[in-house]
Amino acid sequence: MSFFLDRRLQLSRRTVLRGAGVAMALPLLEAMHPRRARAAGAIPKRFVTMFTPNGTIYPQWVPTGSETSFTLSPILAPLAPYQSDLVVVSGLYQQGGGGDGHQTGIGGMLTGQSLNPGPFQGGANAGSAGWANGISVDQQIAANIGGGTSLPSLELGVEVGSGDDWGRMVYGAANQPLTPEENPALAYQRLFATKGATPAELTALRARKRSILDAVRAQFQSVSARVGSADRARLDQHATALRDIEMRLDAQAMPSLSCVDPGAPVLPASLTDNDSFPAIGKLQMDLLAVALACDLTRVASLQWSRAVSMVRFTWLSPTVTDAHHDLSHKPDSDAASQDKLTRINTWYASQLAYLLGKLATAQETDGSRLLDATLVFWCNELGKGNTHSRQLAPYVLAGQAGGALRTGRFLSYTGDLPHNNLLVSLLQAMDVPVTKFGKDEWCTGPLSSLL
Amino acid sequence: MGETVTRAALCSECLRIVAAAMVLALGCAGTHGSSPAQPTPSVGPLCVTHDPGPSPLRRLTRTEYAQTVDDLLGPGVLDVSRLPPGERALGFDNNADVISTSDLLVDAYEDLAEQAGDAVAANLSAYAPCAGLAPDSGCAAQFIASFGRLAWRRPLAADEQAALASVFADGAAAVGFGEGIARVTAVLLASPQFLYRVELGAGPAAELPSAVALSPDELATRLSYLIWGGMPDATLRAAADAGRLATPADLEREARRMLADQRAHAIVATFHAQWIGVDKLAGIDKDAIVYPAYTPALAALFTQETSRFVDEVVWNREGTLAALLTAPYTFGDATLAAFYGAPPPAAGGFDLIHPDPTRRAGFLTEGAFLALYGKANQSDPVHRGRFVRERMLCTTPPPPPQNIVIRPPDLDPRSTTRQRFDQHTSDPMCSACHTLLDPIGFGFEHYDGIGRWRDMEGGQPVDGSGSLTGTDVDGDFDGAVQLGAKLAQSTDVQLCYATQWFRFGYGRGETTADACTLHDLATAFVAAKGNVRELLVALTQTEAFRYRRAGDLP
Repeated sequence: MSFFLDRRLQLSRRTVLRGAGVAMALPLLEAMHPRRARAAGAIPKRFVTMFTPNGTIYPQWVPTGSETSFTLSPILAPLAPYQSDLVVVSGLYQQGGGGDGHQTGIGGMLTGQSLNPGPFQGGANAGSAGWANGISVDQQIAANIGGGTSLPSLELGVEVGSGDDWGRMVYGAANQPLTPEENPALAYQRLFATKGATPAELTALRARKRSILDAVRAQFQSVSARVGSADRARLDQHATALRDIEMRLDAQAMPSLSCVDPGAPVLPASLTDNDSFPAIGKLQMDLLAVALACDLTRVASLQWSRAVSMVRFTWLSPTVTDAHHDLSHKPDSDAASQDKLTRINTWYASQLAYLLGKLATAQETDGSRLLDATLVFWCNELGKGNTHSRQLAPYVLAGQAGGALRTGRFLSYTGDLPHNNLLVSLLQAMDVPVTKFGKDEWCTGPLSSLL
Repeated sequence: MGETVTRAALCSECLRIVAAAMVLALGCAGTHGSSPAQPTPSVGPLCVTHDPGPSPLRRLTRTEYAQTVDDLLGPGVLDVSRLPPGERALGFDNNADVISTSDLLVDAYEDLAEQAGDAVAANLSAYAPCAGLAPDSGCAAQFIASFGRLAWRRPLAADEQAALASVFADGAAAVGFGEGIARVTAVLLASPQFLYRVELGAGPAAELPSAVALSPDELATRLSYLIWGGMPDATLRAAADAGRLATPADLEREARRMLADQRAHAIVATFHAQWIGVDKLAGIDKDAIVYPAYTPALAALFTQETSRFVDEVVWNREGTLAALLTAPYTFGDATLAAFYGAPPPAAGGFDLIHPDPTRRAGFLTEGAFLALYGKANQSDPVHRGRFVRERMLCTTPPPPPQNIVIRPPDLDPRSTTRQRFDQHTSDPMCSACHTLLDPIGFGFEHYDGIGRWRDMEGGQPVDGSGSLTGTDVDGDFDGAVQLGAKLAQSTDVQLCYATQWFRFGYGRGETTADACTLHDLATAFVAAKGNVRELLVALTQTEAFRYRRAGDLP
């Protein structure tokens, strides 16, 4: 693995520098962002989604107390250093439809939509479902604020596995799930592809790419005009991605003071081994944070495993050797399993705490924290694992979204309000002017008293 | 709020599946125009309306992309490991109905195309020999026509050649001849004509109203990706150019030629890896306390074993689906032989071994299958049974009802797995569907969660008896060897296996419009006594393979 990786990285560097003389060691920022002047006070907003699977243990998750004076639960305890940066939201019903409980949950979680009919059930005869029927909230935000950066959004995953509708949560549009990058080395390479190139080299590189992309896009147009409508939709999706690449050649970043090239990640021996899970996750969080700090993207997501995750938390002490999904189906009366699940979800909370720590210590050009400009959304495909219930879905928001979100709060809703309303509020906090999101009948407007 | 599935609805769904399975088993008796009457009874769905079915646009899979650039540029020239894995449905990673295009993927395509351009420019004498004599626009035009014909799997039209000549001119003006060639190569490899299997058709099909005939190059491409997973070779291109891909006999001739080539082995291997799920074994993990013997090294041996076994059965020995389910031999090294309690390979290394045939016969008794469909800390009758029901009989029980507590039983050193899972059949909420799964899965109880043989569990003798219902081979059996023997006799299993090849070969799920194609496939497969290579030939003879629907084009 490492041999091929090294070879590929060299190839990539050679590609970048091809025909352009000797690379000079320039400061990263200069090389990557030739036009990095930025107006004082214009700190860009960022949006981060973090997914963890298989539901939570609600009694161990829900805080106690009032909106502004609350005590974090055992599961959320690792977030204590950032309590004043949090908004814990309980009592919403996570809408969704089609497929089994986990499919429904992860498909509707960020889209507020049902799954369309489709083949994901291992057989076409019964009970199967396809992709979700709409754009996800993060991509809606990216469409509004993601332009002009190197990547409109960054999807990262940790041992996500098979490309089906249990393993996808981010959608560019109906039936268009986005694939998360599961390999931190490849994610790094994509983020820092042009590192070390001189401005002259970058100019030559851009000219080459533009020439190629223009010609390729013309081919897509030509073929697209000659095929049926369903095929045309697929080709047009591809052509749109090509246009995105071309626009990114002109990316203008507004990096924070904490934009430092972390260097190529040192990968664990295996990217699929169960016990590599924490190490891969940490590398991905480091990359996610630096991508935001360097303003390479303003919208990012981190998907831990997948719906129906079978990860075994062997690194916890005492160790948990059961597969997460198997455990999640144990009855409430099984105290030992409830304890293991509580510790699993607590570990996930500690991962969020690590990520928040990165965002809280990253410093913007005006001295504020990166976290001040960021909105982090932690979600789960289910509320309760053993029933597949999506009531009492466990949402945690963090960061001030540039002042849009008043934090240090615990909001407890009753009456199974649709989570679409929360998605609307997230969009509004990120300056996307909408009053509805997702499936119309599931949305009654923004979530009262959140913003 | 929240869904509830009533018991009645659940039961009726599972009863429907049983009933449907019985109808399929009855088969049908008709034949139709394009295929001559078979001497054997025809099987599969009733063929009434001739229709090639939908032909959604197919993108090269990760594996096909890798093979194609190897074919085009030479083995190993391009490292494609950065391509993200594709979407996967119905078990296969080539389902055209679910492909989606992320920036991540397009970025990778774009970078790889540029790398290919660099590789070509760095070795012009190999890819554009005229560059040694006169590196000019005439040489570039020659390269565009010849290399473009390979990359796009058809001759380039004049306007396409002109567009690429302009790309060359820009690169040549900016840097030099090599840069122009590099850019042309990159454009060719990033274009839809390379990445997708674009089919524009060749006018109405004379023999099948409402269908469109495919061009010879489009048929050559269908053949080469079906049988080799890569681009057409020179012989196939020559056949296309000479109009020798027009008839079913032409397609059969080429299919047989291609099956005789080593490249066909990879497709058969990929199909079985994905059908059985063996390609997921590396990501399967066991409880190290319960199964300290299970290591990544053992999993790798399992994977190698099933791959070698399938290859041997299909290409060197019986050649049949029945043998995949019953063959009393397998492959392994001394470690794997010891795992099975068999003598090590006579010649050493990784070679033929002969475990006790009353315990091991066919892939259902091999470590890869048993570990894949075993839990981390115990066996898994539900998922072993589900594999047989879903992947071998093509019937899918609905998912468990929502908002009920599903509780996989805890380990209990005093009980057997069968006893622990018995709640499924005693609780009426579960039993409607689990009676479709568990009685099959209990037949695997002599194998623990990693596939080791056991006679005792929880201090009690193992009961490996099971039963099949709703199939054409219903009845009781004792152990997975007997189960394999029963399934090997089943026409339902042959029909399902042919259906799985339809999905894999045509890159989509079957629809009601595909009745004639499925009927032809199943009938040919049964007539060939379940020979896998003959099924591949039959895949080239169907309406779905030979035509497109007229309505699919503008």
